[in-house]
Amino acid sequence: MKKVFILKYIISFFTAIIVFPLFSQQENDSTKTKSIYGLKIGMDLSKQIRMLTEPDYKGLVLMVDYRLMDKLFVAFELGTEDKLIENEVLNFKTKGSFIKIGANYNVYKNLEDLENEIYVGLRLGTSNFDHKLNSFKVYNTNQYWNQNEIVNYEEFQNLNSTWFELIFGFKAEVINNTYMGISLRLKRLLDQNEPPNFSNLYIPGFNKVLENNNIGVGLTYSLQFRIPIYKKKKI
Amino acid sequence: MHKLKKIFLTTIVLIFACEPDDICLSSIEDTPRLIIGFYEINTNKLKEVENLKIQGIGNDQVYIHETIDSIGIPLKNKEHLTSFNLTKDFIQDKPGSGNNDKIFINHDSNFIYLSRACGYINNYEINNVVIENDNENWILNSQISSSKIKDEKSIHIKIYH
Repeated sequence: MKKVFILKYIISFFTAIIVFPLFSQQENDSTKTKSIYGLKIGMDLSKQIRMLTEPDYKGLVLMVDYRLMDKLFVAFELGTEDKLIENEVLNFKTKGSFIKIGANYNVYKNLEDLENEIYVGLRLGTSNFDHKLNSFKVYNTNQYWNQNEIVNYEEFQNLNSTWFELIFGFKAEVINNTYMGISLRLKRLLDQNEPPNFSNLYIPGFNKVLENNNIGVGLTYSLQFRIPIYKKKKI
Repeated sequence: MHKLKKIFLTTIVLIFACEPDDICLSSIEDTPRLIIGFYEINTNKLKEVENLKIQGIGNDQVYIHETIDSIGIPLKNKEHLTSFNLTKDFIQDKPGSGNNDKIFINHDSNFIYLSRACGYINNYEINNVVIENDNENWILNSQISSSKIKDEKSIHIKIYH
């Protein structure tokens, strides 16, 4: 029930956010200025923040986008993640790399010569990963022998999965050609190969996997530098 | 820019609120115990054992002391041999009373993944059961009726007395 509630909240949040910029778009479009087309290259700093706050996490993600049309950007992300997951009953490590390809559509109409973005985006992601199970606990309400902690080193290799992401985000040019941005992502698993007698509880690039549904969430915090390629008149 | 700040903060709050608590529900069945049924040797019907004390060999704790015709006993997860002292007619606070028989159960572990919150359960497989011969056994015979311990619904070992 709680999950459904959270999901509803996210969906309504998305809709509200997509709708509100439409109201603020009635600006004068008489001034025709030139706008820059280029390639933005950077990284997802949320991984570095996680590395500081979570001791058993390592991650690095490269984020690239290219302005194809006035409002359309093709986007590409490449990353690697390494995480030790420990709860009361399981201890395992997941390691892998991922690629995401898709597009962002800028719904924000900038004033004059500003180049900020409020965008909606889509990504198709795929990752290849391994799990290393270190130990587990046998679920046993009977504690008579007190032998429920099992050290059982087992590897599940060459697993993969694909998923789809719906993104809402924004990017602001903080200094010349330097962009900072944040994005909220709603993900849905499309396919995965399950390890025998275990489960993909964490997928690099996808994040935590819930066992009773295919929905996931994510957050990125990007820092990107733009390489201007050409200028074009604003439409 | 004020609007952007608001979105930024809301996003962060949302993400951290999205971690669900994973709880292993008590309705989920845990590792099954080995079910022993005590049978009358001639009639092949369940028959109670008077004042039976069950205690694991190498365990200081008495598992049970009751008059019963069947019982579920726990097996070990790290070893393949579990042994118990079964003392019939045991009198409380009187060590050495009653007739004690030793039972040795050889078994294999078969760990089965359940979930993130529950981890694994063990569905044991019984290889053999040995009753130690001490010349005055109250246990006359034993028989494995179901070697795979998947649940506690049926009797796995029959003990005749």
